[in-house]
Amino acid sequence: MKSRRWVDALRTHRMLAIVIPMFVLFAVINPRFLTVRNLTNVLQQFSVDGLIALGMTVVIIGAGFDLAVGAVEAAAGVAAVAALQHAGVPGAVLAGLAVGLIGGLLNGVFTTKLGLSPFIASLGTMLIARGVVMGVTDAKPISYFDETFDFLGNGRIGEIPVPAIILLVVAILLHIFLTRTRPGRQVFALGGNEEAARVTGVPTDRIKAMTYLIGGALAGLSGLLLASRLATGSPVVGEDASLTAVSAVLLGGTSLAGGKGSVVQTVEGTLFMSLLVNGMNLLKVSAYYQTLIQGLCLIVVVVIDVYSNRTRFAGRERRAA
Amino acid sequence: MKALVSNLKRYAIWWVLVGLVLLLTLLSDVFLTPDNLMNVLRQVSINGVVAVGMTFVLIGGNFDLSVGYILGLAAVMAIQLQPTTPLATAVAILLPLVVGTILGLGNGFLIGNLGANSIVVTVGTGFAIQALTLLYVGGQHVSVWEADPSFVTLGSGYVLGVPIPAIVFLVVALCGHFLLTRTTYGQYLYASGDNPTAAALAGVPVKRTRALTFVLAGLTAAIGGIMLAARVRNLDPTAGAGYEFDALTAAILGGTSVNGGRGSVVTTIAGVIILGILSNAMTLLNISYNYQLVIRGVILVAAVSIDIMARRGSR
Repeated sequence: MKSRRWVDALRTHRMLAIVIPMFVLFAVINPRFLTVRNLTNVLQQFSVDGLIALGMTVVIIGAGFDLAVGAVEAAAGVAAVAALQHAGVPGAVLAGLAVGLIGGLLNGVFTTKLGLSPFIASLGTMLIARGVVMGVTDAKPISYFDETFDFLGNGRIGEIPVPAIILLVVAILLHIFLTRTRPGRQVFALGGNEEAARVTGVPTDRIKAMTYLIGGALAGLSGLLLASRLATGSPVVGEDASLTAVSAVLLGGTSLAGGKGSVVQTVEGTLFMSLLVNGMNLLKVSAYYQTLIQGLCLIVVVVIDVYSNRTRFAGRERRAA
Repeated sequence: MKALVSNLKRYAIWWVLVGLVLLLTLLSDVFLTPDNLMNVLRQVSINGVVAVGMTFVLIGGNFDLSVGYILGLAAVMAIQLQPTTPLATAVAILLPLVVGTILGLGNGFLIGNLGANSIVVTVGTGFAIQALTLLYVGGQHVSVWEADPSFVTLGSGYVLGVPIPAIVFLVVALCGHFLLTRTTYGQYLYASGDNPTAAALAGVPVKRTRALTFVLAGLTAAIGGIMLAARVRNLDPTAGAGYEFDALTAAILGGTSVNGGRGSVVTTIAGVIILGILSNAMTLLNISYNYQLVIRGVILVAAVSIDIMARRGSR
């Protein structure tokens, strides 16, 4: 009995079984890996990617999908830096989160009121968000330095980077939300079987819209932290954000079919992705090879996802689309 | 009477096109000139070829987001192979076609045979292909000086006043139309997209049928890439990105369903021309590329919503 539980735990937290040896390996082969500076770096990148992946987790558990996160991240960063110049840090934070929520709202309206598939809905949001932010900025980044704003992305409490603390808080809140509250449980019901959820009284449209709002808000927060770290709002960041986020989510074990997954697993998946990128950087792997490896990684993960959901009929993919 | 109404409905997209042409003729002096129309025709031809392949994938109930990157790789290959002699030109045309087909086969295997999610797989293969393209040319621009006349003609020549790219588009569209409407494969594809379970029970090789749509998409993307290479002969290795969205929008605008089982090459052509005319008009009206993106996003969402509402109404 006891060993059975161990096997289950290992399967659920399979990423840790890879992440821990990976950590040790990097520490042994490269002395620069285990320095405060490098680990801070890893944690900062981990937090920016992780926030998006956490939002994506909620959306995917609800059997949705969000291609727009990267564009929303960029728009939020630009809005935050623009607001910072006129309204200070509170204005910047509000602007970043507001842009994220608007992106989520578009997705939510498109999927629930217009009945679009998540893919088309978020593709529309992506084109709109990217077009607006590129148009408004004329494709040029805007920079502005403010000491308080800088603290959000580059500050530390003790030795821990502030973004990592923000990520941790968000992850805990989201975990409690998904596992201990009624709307959180309803996300699983929605993703498991929308029709059945509706019949049993789950307000499916409202829950669906809520998942996109959470995803949008977290993409906004991520854009805010990125802008703070670079003291720059750039309209071109986040081109591969959805790739990284989906990889992290699926690696962790959340299924594209919906109805299954957890925040903890996504954090583990993101940890793997961040370590992989950092390791490749330390080994001086060129950016092109990194993209290649990430693309291949995603393909492998999807195939694993297919095999672990073999019992479901393959045509299910259309619902996830 | 009923037949007339259903015909009107069926060809609604063509009425939109006629209306659009009339409107733009009134708004702009330049629009309805032979030069501008030929220009539009040439501009839409690459997207048109890609959209024909995308139509097959959509009818099968999937998406292919990697076609833009396959197109980019094919274009870069065609130029890197330096088509300066007739023989080299033949190689520069054939090899990218083979590569595009093989890449499509890979997508088809993962999605059609293994049943993996088409969006996620093709986002992954798209990134991988983009990276391969950049590695292949070291991230540099590629160009061919003194290209063979046959290669140049392919991109910018005319036959009886019609641009050659437009003729290629027409030929690809005719082949696609024939395949969809006159062959067993076409019947299989509609069945597989409409209801895969029922089709499989009725003996349709659903997996193979769906996998083949990605091969067609890879092939048409490669044709599009060669057309692009022949036209510009000097390009950035990331030039293909974005074609996937244009092709998707055109097919959907033409009424091809994103749920599979429904669509046609003929209406996709209308979608392609409408998109081309719109972007031509937006350029004539001096709207920047970025805001054109926004408008395309809105068109995409509107087109699918209208389709959904029309079908709800008809039930």
